[in-house]
This record gives sequence, C-alpha cells and structure tokens, in this order.
Amino acid sequence: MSYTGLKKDDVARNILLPGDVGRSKTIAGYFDTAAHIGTKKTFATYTGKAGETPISVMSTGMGGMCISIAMEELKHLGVKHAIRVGTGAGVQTDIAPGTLVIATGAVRGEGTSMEYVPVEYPAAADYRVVNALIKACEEYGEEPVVGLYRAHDAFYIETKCAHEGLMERMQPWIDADVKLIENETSILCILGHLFGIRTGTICVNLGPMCDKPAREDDEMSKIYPALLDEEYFKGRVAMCAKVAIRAMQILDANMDGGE
Amino acid sequence: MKYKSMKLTHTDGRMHHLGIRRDDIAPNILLPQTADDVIPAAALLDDAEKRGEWREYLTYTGSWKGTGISVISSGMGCMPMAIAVEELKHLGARNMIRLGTGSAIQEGIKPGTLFISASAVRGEGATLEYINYRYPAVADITAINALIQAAGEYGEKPIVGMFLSHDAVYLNKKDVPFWRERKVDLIDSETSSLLTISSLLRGLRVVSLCVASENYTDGTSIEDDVLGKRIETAGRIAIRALHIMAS
Repeated sequence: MSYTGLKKDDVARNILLPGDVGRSKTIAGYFDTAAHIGTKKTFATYTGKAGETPISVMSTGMGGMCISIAMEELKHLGVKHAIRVGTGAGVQTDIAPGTLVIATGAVRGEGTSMEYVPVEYPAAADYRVVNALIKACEEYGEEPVVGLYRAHDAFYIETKCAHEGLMERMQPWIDADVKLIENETSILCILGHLFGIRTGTICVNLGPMCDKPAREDDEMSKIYPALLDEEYFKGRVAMCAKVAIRAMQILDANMDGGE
Repeated sequence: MKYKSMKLTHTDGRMHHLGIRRDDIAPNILLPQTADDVIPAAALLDDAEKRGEWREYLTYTGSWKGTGISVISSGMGCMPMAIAVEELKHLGARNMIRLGTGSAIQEGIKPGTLFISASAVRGEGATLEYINYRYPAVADITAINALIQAAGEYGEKPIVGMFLSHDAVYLNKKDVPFWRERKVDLIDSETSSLLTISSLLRGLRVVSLCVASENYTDGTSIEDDVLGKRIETAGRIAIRALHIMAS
C-alpha cells in the first residue's frame, strides 16, 4: 500500500493502533511472538500472536489525517478489528490521572471526518469492542471510565498550554459530560462503520486539562500529573496495551463463534 | 450544570406536558410512539393502570415479574420526545427504551426485522438547539446489552446498527441511497433525540428497539396484523430488557 508500505498477509485481522511511532515496538513486546514488518512514514508495523490470536500493531502518527490513511489501507488487507491505544487529557476534572478511559463515541471536533460524512453522522465505537474492552479491564482488575471523547486537530488550542480562551472552548464539552480529549477516535469510529471494521479506543488519562491553566514555568508533570512518575506512567500505558490485547482475543474468539 | 431544566408543573404538581407526578411512574420506562401504541404495550405487563393522559402523552404504570415499569407515549417526532425525556428525568426516570417502527434501507432486509439503535444520525432539529451536530447520538452500552440478551431469550437476533432520525416524514425517501451507502440501517423520527438529550442530561440509560415496517430500497412492506405481532414481540423483549437493567 502506498503510505503504510504493507501488502496482503503483512497484518493480522486484529490490529492495535497507537498514535506514537515509538510505541509500536513497546506494544509488540507484550505479544507472545512479534516480527517487525516494516516502518514507512509514521507507520511502524509488527505482526505476531497473543496466545493463539493473530495480532498486529501499527502506529498511525498523530491526528485524523494519519489514522484515516491507516484505515483506508487496512480495509484492503482483511482487518476486522482495530483498537486505538493511546493517551488523552481529562475533560472532566474528577477522573484520576492514570485512569483508563474507554470511548463509546466521540465529538467530531476534527476536519477529516467532515470530508467523509455530514456533521450529523455519529462517531460511535462498535458496541462489541466496547464490551470486550470493559471485560478485559475487569479481568485485569481495572476500573475504567466509559464514555464519550472529543477528538480535535489543534493541540495548542485545546490543551492546558493553549492560547487564550481555553475554558470558553471547553465549557460546552464539560457540560456535555465528555470524558477525554484526544485526536483520532472520531474518524476512526466513522471509517470503521463505513468499512465494516469493528473499532474502538482505550486511552490513559494524563490528567485534567480544565482544572487550572498551565504556567510558563510549569514542568510537564505539573501539566499532566500522570507523567509525574515516569515508571508509573509507563506502567499505565503498558496496562492500556495489555487490556487492548486481551480485548482482541475476546473479539477474535467471538468472531470465530459465528458473529 | 448547564443541562438542568426547571421543573415546570401545574398548580396540582403534575408535569406541564406529561400531566403526571413522580409517584405516577416507575424508573423503568417503555416509550412507544403514540397513545394507540401504549395500551397494547401496557397489556404485556403483569398489571398496569392508567396514570395520566395529557396532550399526546398517555401513561400506564404497572409491573412485570416484580419490576415497576411505565409505558408512556413519546409523541411523534423529536420535539415531543425531547420534552418527554426532560420531564421524565425530573420524575426520576433511569432506564428507557423506545419501542417503535422504522423503515429499513439496506438491501435484503426483510420487513419485520428488529433493530437496536447503537447510534443515530442527528437528521432533526430538536437536538441542534441543545448542542452542535459534532456531538454523537450514541446509545447506552448496558441498554444495548440488555436488549441483545432479552432478544436471545425470545429466540430473536436483532440487527444492532445505526439509525437516522429526521423531522419531515413526507420527505422520508429523500436521500435514501446516500444514507444507504453510508451504512445507515433504519430511518425513524425519535431515536436521535432520545439518545442525545439523555446523554446530555446524564444518569439516563436509553436505547431504541424498532421493527422495520417496510424496506425503502426494495419497496417491500408487511400487513398491519403481522406488524402488530412483531411489535408485540419487540415489546416483550423491551420489557424483559428493562427488567434486566433494573436488577
């Protein structure tokens, strides 16, 4: 394929999609077997097995544009399940840093999905993926928050380090009970529905973005409390990936059961 | 909190539009479309009595296997549904299932097929006054799961899919090929309002269960008596789903 560099049989029918290019290799390390298929542009791909379940991980790069390219090419390669694993910031202030947040759908705050379908079209995660992620969390003793995300394009407009006017922009989404902000989930879910790929997202909450604005001299850990302890943060990202891998096993087993 | 409306009542304490009080309803609610649909749905409960009738809102409350359940008409369209959701929230509603009909638009789907609304295109005006269109209309996952389980117990396997709710019934067939290509399953008039406003108000678990009365793509439909039997089956499934959600 022209952007990902992948060809048929390079990826499994189950694929994890982190945004961070460096995170593909880390996540592949949690598989039982994994081989590096290739890295082209922002797409670093590993394929192997988790138990008996065939599974791949491919980084997408940041934003709706990147993940739309990934989905467009993966639909030609027989992918059935795609779960994004990543990080986001808490829109609600009462979600503890480090908490796993599962998307049921997403506010379409980005531009890519507008080119595909009218704005009234919902970005909804596949309910089977939501259920599998919830079940996998239970198995790991995790207590995830389950709810809506907001996906958007301009990091420095909607983040703790944003230009002026952050609260005016965010208040409608605080009021609407949106849980987490990130960049890719809305177009991921829409393309999943259009292409017949079951999709969903699980992210680590880095910390609340709307409790108080960042100051010029703040360290990253003051802006995102989950980063305060580097080992803790790595552990949370690892847990997020392991939950998603287990969810893929659940989904794959159900698919073979005739779903 | 932005999404908290004032409780608007008559001098005797009845809600302004629904015409009922808190003690008139159970927290588990079945929402058929019109008053005509309420009585056959209420007849599926173990016991039910009429508790209100005001405008297009007819209310019956009773129980099924020990779970309190109300059957209340939502009225036709997203406007009366929006009012119903707002006022039922004030009266302590928790779990709500719309029981209705719709028009299938995917090829090969037979009229009579049951559909669960995982999500809905917001093709109507009511929810746009609440929040811009970028906000998705998504059903509650526990409500979806309860309907799937209940349907299985009745030997049914509904399609869990995407609805399109809109305002102009006599323009129903407009843009059908467009939405068919974009994997919309069923067209109705109330679901996006139910899902969106419930999500904004918080604390409500909602979903729709609809019977396809026709298929716009191949022009097929079913006789009224056959449709009535399918709605009865859907009603039994929805009541059992409310029972599951309440336990």
